[in-house]
Amino acid sequence: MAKILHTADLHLGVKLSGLGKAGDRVRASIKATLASIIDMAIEEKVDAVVIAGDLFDSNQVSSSLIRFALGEIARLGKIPCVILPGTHDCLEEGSVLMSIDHHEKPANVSVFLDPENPVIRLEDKNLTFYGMPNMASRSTKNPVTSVQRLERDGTHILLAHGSYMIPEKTAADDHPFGLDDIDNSGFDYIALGHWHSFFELPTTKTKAAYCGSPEPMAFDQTGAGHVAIVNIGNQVTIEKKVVGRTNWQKVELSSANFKYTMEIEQEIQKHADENKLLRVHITGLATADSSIDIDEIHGLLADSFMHLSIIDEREQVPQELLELNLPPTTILGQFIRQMSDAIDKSEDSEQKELLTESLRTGYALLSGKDVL
Amino acid sequence: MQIEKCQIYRYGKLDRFSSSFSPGLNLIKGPNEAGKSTLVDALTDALFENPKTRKKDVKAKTSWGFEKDFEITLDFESEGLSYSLSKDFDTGSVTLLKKSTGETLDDRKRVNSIVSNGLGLSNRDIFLATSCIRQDEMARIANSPDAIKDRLEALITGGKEEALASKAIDRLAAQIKGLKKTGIKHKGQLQALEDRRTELAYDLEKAKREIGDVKQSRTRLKNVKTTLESLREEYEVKTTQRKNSKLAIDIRETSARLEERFSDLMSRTSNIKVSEETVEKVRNKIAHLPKIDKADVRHADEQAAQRKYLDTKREGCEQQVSDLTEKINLAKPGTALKLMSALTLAGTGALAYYWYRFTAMADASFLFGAGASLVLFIIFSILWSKRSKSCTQVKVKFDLQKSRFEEIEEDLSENKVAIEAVLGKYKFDKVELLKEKFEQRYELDKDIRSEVNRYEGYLGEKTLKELEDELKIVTRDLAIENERFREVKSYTMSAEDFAILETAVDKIKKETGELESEEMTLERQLDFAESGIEHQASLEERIEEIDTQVARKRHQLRVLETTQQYIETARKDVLKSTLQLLDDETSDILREVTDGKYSQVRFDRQSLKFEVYSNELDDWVDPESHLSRGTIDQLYLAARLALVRIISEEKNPVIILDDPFVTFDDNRRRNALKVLKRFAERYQIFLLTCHDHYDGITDNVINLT
Repeated sequence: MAKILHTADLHLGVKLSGLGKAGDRVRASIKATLASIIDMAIEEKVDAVVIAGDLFDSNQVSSSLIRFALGEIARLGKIPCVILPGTHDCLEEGSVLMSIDHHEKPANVSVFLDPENPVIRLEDKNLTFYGMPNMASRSTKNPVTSVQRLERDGTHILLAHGSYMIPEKTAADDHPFGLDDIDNSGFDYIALGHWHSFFELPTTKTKAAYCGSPEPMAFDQTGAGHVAIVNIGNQVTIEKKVVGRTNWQKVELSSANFKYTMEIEQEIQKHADENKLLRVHITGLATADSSIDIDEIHGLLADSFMHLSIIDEREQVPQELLELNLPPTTILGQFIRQMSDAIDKSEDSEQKELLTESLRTGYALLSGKDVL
Repeated sequence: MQIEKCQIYRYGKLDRFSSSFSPGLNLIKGPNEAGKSTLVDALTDALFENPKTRKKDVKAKTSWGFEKDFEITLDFESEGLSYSLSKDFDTGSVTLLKKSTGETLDDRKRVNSIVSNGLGLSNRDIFLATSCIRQDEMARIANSPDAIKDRLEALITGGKEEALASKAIDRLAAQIKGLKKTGIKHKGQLQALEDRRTELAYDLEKAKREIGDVKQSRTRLKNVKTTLESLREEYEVKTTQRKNSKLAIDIRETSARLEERFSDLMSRTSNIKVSEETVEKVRNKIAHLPKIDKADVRHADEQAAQRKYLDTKREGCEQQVSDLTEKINLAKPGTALKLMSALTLAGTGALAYYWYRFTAMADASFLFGAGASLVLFIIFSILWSKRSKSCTQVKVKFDLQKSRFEEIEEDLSENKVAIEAVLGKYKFDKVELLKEKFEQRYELDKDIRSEVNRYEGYLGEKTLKELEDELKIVTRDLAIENERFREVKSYTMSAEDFAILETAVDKIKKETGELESEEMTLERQLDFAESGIEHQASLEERIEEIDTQVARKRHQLRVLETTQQYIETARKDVLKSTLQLLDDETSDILREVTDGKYSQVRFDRQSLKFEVYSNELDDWVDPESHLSRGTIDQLYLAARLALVRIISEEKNPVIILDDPFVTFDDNRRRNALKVLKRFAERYQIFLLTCHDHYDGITDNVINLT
């Protein structure tokens, strides 16, 4: 009977596009989550911690980050930690995992560094770990079939970092493997890494699972935020444990339901959470009499979230302004007519959009709305 | 448009209100707080508000104590058709009943269209800006000289009191400037962003370089470590080789020393034993020899030497005596000499005589012969004399020698006694024997001393036991060293090979040292290189954010510039066309309300400042310096009514006047009413008041209580 904590894809030092300054906060959260994982491993008294690739997001992470990660893993004490190089921290030239020795590698850490000898044996626990280190970010090499189980007693666990092959969806050079590869492998459990969402493969003989990233790194990674506690005995049980602290959420708000900035602000305020990254899509029609000021909402609420982005996806409706039929003897009436003419005549969609926005801005200004 | 009837439920003070209205002027009279302004609001909401609104200020208008929101129904006539407009703010429904056909519309947009079309005013703002003159408006105009200009512009702009096209343009310009401004201290938003981006881009490049260096350093470090590992292994092998080789040499040297010491000790102990035996033997020999006084030996020896000397001397003396005896014999003149002297003497006489006698001295040969014989005689005589003298001398010597000989004999005799005395002491018969024995003993003593010296030399400062003990230790050490040597024997190498090994080790050591130094430098570099991909990511994210902001700001700038451009154009166009109409309309109305005192007004096309033509001065004047407050109020009223006509064009909006003339004196009020009456011929007017000034001006009076 063996109990392991299976994690992968922490991507320490990851770059997060579109988050601006919040990127630092997310990276700090990932570091904090690593510390939580270590705490959990100690609390659960696991026999080993396995990291199935992409502990680091790049081979160019800073020495301080490497020191941090090793410092945390060292807290495991006598609990061994087995690390597999993934696609981001692959064993290319200047590999971060190869340089770990230079950072006083803790005694409990073992890294698969030799493709010729992809076996790490823990005699005292009668555990044998296997793992074919990824030598490049892209490869057609099958990380499951490239390793052979040894004929000996004990528990045999394979670490593999690659993609479960789904025809026409999985790239051929994304370290692919199939269900049959897993079922025919003979291992007791296969700890997978590469996919960021938790996913247990529908195998029949050998249990295999992606534990997913312990911390989501994008709005679409809804299945991230877990590690797996795997009990391997006569039966293999995989327990999904929540460790992620950041909450990534997308919200769609229709402008039809709100007329004033304050109303949208109140709606967004309901989601306020300092660990939440919220992306609000404002949809519907950008009506002429609506005075929703997105910058104002962002300015008021940004501090209530780890990250807040508000995307104005409202449709611009200049015709509605024309329908107001304001007298041409007023500047506003004249302005609307002249701008509407220009919009109608414009063939360039970008120019049309610019003119439409100018029309709405001018309309708001000339209607006494403080939109600047 | 003509409003025929109005029914209001649950609207502020008017929780239940119903009234019919007439065409033309309607006087709605009531004391303060009777609900006049509420009625104006209710009419405005009935005409323009969306009953589905969630606006709190609208919802708040519901009368206190009612659960349901308010409801308003307006019956009106527009363009010859009668309608009934119902807005239920509780259900959010709007219905417009076309009375002639019974058709009902509930589409808000269509209903709004019919209403605004009937009014000739498209929205609430225009309505409030033109045909709805509130109670406090005239008072505000009176308090600010620029108010009329601003108000007019607001009206022309689009109705909103707070919206001025010129101010909108100014604000746009300020925003544009705020975005575009360049400089060091007061930079615009765009420049600030771009500057920040430049800084971040610099930091990013630096970080990338550092990261590149770190990558190189890591690769180099890995190579250095690999090389170091193999060098250390080689060093280990070679140093073991060198160490064992050195050990072998050392052992051999130690063994050699020990062997030497062993030999020395062996030799010394052996010699010591031999010495001891030798001394013993010599001592035994000495024991058989008498102890002879050295002085005696010396004395005997001296006497022996004396005797020898005397013997030699006696012999020599004896020889000389013999020789002198012989010499004496030889020195005695011989018979021949004596005979020859006699013969020569006889010959000389015989010849001299014969010559004299027998030759008569004639023959000289005889004379000559006699002479020659004489000469010979002389010679022989001399010889004879000399030999005699010599013989005498030898005899003297002989006597002396003989005397000496006798002395020697005497000395010999004494010598013999002396020798015999010494020899007798030791019972030897010969001096030589004495000497021999003495010599023997002397030599043996010397041998002992010499042997003892040797013995002591062998011992040194140690005892024999000590030497023997040391020999045991040396023997043991030697065995150990030999055993040690056996272990390292395979490492023995020639001096040349050892020198080559030493050079190789030194070279490895030097290379190792250099690589270790490089390793340390690289590790320090890596330890202190804090730049990592996460730092780069952070910078890139911020640059990306700034780029987004810059793009947005640029877009915003283009929007603002376009907006500004179009507002300026619209303003220019409107002021050009509308102001001409406004000039004319306002002048007409102003003439009427001032009893012809002022008959012309003109608005500046750019600034909207206006001038009034003074008939008294026969010139255009600045109203600020020439017109009274009351006249300016009149001018505003004139402009306001003119705008109703201009903006509503051919339509006939309802004009609502909520007690606007409270600041007017009787004369001005009268003139104003005169104008209103004229307007009432075309427009339906609601004049709301709490005063009695207007009593009698119309029969259509609705009293609010």
